[in-house]
Amino acid sequence: MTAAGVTNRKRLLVLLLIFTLIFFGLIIRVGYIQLVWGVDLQKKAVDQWTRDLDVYPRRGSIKDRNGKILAQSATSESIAARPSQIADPAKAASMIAPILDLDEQELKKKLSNTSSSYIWIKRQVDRKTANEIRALNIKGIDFTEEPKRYYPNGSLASHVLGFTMKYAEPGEGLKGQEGLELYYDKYLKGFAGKLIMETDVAGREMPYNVDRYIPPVNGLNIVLTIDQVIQYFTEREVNNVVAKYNPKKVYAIVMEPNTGEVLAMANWPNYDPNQPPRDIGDFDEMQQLVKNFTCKDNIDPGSTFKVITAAAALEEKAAGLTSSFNCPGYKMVDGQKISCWRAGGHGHESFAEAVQNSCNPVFMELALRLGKDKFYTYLNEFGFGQATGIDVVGEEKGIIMSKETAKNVDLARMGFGQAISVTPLQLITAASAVINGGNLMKPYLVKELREPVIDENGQETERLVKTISPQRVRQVISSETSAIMREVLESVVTDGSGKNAFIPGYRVGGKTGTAQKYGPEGRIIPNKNISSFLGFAPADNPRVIVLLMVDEPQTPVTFGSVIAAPYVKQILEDTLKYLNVEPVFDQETREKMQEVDVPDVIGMELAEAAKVLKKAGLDYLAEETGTVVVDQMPKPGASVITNTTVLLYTDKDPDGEYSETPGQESDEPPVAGMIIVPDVVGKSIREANNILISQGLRLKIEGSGIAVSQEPAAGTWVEENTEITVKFKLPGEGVQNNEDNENQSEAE
Amino acid sequence: MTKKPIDYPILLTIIILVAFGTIMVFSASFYYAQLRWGDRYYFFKRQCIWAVVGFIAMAVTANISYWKLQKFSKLLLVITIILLIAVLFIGVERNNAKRWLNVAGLSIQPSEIAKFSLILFLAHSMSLRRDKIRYFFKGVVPYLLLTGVLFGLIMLQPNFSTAGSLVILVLVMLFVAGARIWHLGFLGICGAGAAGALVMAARYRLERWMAFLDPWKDPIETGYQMIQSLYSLGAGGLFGMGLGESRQKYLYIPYPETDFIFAIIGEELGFIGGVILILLFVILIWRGLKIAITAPDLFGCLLASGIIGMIAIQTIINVAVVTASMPPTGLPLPFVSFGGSSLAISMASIGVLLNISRYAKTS
Repeated sequence: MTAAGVTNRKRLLVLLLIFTLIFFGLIIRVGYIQLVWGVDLQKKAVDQWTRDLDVYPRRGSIKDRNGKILAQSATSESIAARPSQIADPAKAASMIAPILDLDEQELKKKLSNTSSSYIWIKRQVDRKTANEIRALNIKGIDFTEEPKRYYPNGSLASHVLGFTMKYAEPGEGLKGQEGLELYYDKYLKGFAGKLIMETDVAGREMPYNVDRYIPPVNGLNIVLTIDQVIQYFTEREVNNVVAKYNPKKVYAIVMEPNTGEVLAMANWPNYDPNQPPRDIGDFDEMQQLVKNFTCKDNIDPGSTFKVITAAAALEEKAAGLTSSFNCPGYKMVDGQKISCWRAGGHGHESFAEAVQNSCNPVFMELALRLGKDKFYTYLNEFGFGQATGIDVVGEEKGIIMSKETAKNVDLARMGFGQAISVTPLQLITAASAVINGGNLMKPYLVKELREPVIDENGQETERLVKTISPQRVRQVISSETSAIMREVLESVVTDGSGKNAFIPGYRVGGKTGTAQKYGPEGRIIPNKNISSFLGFAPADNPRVIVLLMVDEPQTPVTFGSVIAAPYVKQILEDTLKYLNVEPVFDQETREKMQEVDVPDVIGMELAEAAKVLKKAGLDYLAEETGTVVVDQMPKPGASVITNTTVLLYTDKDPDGEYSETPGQESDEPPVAGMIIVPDVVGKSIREANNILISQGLRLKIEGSGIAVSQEPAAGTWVEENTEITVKFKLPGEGVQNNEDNENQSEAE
Repeated sequence: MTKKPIDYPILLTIIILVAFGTIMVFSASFYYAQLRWGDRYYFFKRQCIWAVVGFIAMAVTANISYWKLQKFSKLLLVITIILLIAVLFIGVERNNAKRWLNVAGLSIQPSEIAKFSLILFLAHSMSLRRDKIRYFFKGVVPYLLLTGVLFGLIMLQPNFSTAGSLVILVLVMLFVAGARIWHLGFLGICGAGAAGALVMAARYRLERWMAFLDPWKDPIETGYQMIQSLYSLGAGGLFGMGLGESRQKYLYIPYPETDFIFAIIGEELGFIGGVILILLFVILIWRGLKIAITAPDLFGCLLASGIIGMIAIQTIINVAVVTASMPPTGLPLPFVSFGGSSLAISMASIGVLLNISRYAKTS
């Protein structure tokens, strides 16, 4: 037996040293991983062990200013399964299928598919059904709450409320897609909670089952400035307009003029946010339908804009109540002839009369007197060309010609509401400033944010989080000017074109408007107008202002006074009564309030009908194309106030063909007995003569052949017996495009 | 020669390691066992049986004078080689490798037997040829050739880690036996060169091997094991998540009861638990090398060195792999990892070590 040598022993000690060093190196390495790197590794490890199930927060409600629910979330339950945990899929399927009305075999197949860790059995079931399934107590069946949005009033205020998208972003529940649902999404949506479960690598829940629950934070409720009742009044009238005139679009806004609170905002066509029109194939098309047009369409305001010009002119003393004007029926601006809507002109008139008559040349004059700088200053001060700042996503700003390129002709046209585009909201906001003492207010839709909380009795209540106060943007005109404007605008309703908006017992102010529509090349599109009425009351202390704009009413008579004013009147009357504004009956109103029965003029010749109505103390307005009255509004026997305008519908022209009328020249109801010039272009001398005589007009012949032009233009209002000059040319002579024709197209 | 008491610190360390290992095997394996075999005690029961077998084997070998083993060294080597060849034909294939032989319902790894029979043979042979060991061709090369044969056979299974650990073992034993340092250095360089060439020959192998440097480069494939092992250790922190509280064992980490049991220990018992375990191995190695130094003869010295060297090599490689300190390779943690034949044979060799300790010279 030979003992180990010294070398062997030495080497063993070296070996011990090497092993020990390596082991201490490993201890350091383990320490580094567990203690230094570990913080980060642990986070990643936890991520990999846990599966999160989102617990949806309840989206906040949208309420009207009185707390009435306009949009509300409810949760419905969804039933899911974890196939790997279901012991007996066949038995489970046979128990569940009958309750949920599902196919048992199919369900069994789904439950047996252990390769998927989580499957939906049925989504959006009511709580009672869910509880029935819950009572079965089957292991592996899961319940999740899912949110659903309800709009209890259907289409009411649909464009204002908007709608939501489902599960667009997991964990956020519903997401606002349009309207206030979109604008206030961050407040409404709340924060998702989580149910954190630990699972194995295949997603199977852990046996020790230490689920953690982080409760969701529910969204805030928002309280609108909108009053559900006023919104209803407004939409009812919008629907009446639609039923009668079948327009392309209708815009209506009701506002508190002193604060900028929007009391109602309606668009037509509308939709039901409970079923957003997602099935419209084209996304752009859907956007067109669901966007809030009152804030997003740039349209030509027409005569309602004269309110702004008048206010600016008064403020700048470019004119006063005592100023007098003369209207020859047109105005020459830089060598261009721009017509008044009334062919013969209004002659001598005061400032107030000019507004009552909606006389174009006067407003051209006022704009020119103000001059470009001042006029543009007022456009800017009244907020045109800028967003109002209302709580609507993607509000439009209107379109104003750049100041540099605007010529006098443009300035003159802007003066009476042409050559400028505004949103209906801009117009009513600026008009509010004109009548409320001169303050431009920021319009708004939401006045409060409230947090839903549970009180000590377990009842759900609300805690006020934020109040949005009225916000004055700037003072635009003096309160004196504003007071004058209120009076002038009241006279439009008492004595001028706005008679149809008169409400007995209330002082109503207003302004009518009919704007022409322009085609892509800037040419007027015949028979396509926007009829509007801007009304407010009480005129001495306005509480409500209403703007109604009707785009392309399908009727030959498109005057704002006829198409829009009666409906605005109805909205105003109902709203004032609803707001408990008491009517005041003084001597003057009583006189005006004398009621008369509408005589039956159906079947009469137009001229005769006019006489009958005049005798009964009523105004009338007729289609220009026919001679015999076939229908009337209001109906015979209806009880109306004196001076109400009766609308007469006549039969077609004698040739039996519908004669195209070029662009409506005016919207102003004429003094009783005025006649609309029919279109005779294209007719023979004999035909033209017949048509004109049947309307009570005289023909002055120039040339021979077929009519190529006429003066005054078709659609203008003229006195009875006015001589109409018609140029005739033999076919082949070529039609001269005459400058007058161009200018005749100017609307009021 | 007077018999002394056995080295109790080693015995105690082994009892602690095996008991602890058995508990950890249960903790690490019950979830998989339940899922795979429908019996959460599947691995635990087997490990208990093997532990009992191991203790019996240890008791037996501790009471057989180790000199007597010399007689069997050649026979055992021949049997080992036969078994290594047999396993290639009748072995049970698991995870694309034929490493197991089913004997009487228990699966046995011939490569585990190879470790012990190689140690025994080398110790015997080197102690007889102690003067030739200083020569390269006469001394070193024959052992290398023998090891080469075993290496080749085990690589055919394939089982690179066990085969590789045999090569290191031979170098360690040559070192202790007194081979010239520069011979060993030269071999080390050759070995490294050969390994390098082998790895470089196939780019995928290089990438796979180097994945441990940045496992997140390919977290799904090559880096997966490393990442999961690091997650385990990282989740454990200083004190661990508590016994039985590992999350990684829920199928996230592969082989939690064998190759990656140290990661689960680190996760459940933290850095403190891991350090205590490593220190137990340090004690074992320290006591084991002490036995080698005080062995009455060169055979005993080399035999003890080989036995403790093998345990040290496996422990170091296992912990290094788990801590992403070297390319991943599957070696069990001695006495702790699940694995019947490994446990029983390791314990039997400890019995031999304990027997040697009874003849220690007092110095």
